[in-house]
Amino acid sequence: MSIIVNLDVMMAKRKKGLSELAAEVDLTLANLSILKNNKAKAVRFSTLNAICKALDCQPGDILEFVDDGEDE
Amino acid sequence: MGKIILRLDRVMADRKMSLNELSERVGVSNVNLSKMKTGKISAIRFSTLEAICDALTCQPGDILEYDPNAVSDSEE
Amino acid sequence: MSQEKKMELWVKITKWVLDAMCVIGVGVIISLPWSIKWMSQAMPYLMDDYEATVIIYFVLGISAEKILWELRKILGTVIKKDCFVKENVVSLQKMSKWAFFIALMCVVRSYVHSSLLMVTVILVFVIAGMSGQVLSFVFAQAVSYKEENDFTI
Repeated sequence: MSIIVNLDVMMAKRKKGLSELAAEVDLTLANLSILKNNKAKAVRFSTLNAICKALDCQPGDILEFVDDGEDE
Repeated sequence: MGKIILRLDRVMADRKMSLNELSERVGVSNVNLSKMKTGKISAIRFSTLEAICDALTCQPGDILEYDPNAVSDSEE
Repeated sequence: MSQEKKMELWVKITKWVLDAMCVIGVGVIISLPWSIKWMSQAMPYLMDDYEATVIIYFVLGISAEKILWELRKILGTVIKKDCFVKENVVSLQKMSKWAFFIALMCVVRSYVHSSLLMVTVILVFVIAGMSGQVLSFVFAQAVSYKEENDFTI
């Protein structure tokens, strides 16, 4: 079970590239990639806030809880 | 420019789960869970979010909400 | 900031001393066969078991060099301002192991010739070994905190 970051889906819907989004949410490309690739361990609310604003979406559109019954 | 709001209390009320019970299931102290409920935290670990979603059988979207019209703390 | 300047100075001094000790240490190790003979003028018991004495001090010297080497590596990460890394946890553990090894070798040496000084050395290195262990645990936790901090986006 895990939390999955579905950033790419929402980015595709809004037709936004990674560098464009990075500039809008004021993150480095490297950090945004970490988030997009599910490598992040935690998310700041300020980041989540900026992403939701830039992509005009809700946190629930980006974050998903998947319960595959497996404990990591 | 908007604000992220934690709806932990709402989901807990829906599931009729007390702070103590959730704290035990999630493995986060009572104090920290209270801070979370009252919006005194600035970031959330995915491991914590995962444990909360598991305990409350809900989705991150049920707990976290983006309010585009609210004034953020930094702007207050 | 004076605090930062002070630390920079200390790092510089420590690095210089460590480098010097490393080089001098190699010289001492290489010259052991002769230096022990020379020292025996003042301490005749050194000649009692000449070969064994040379070998044991050779092993002790190499172990000490290993510890100095790890210390230099850790100091290098401090200079690069990136010291909370897994490598340093490994370095501390290695240092601690070599310190315990030195203590053990000193115990072995004590069979050939025991002295009050040797007891002190053993005690010092056992404490050093334990300190290394504890510090490696502290570092391991610091590394995991740093990782979490770095991966909070």
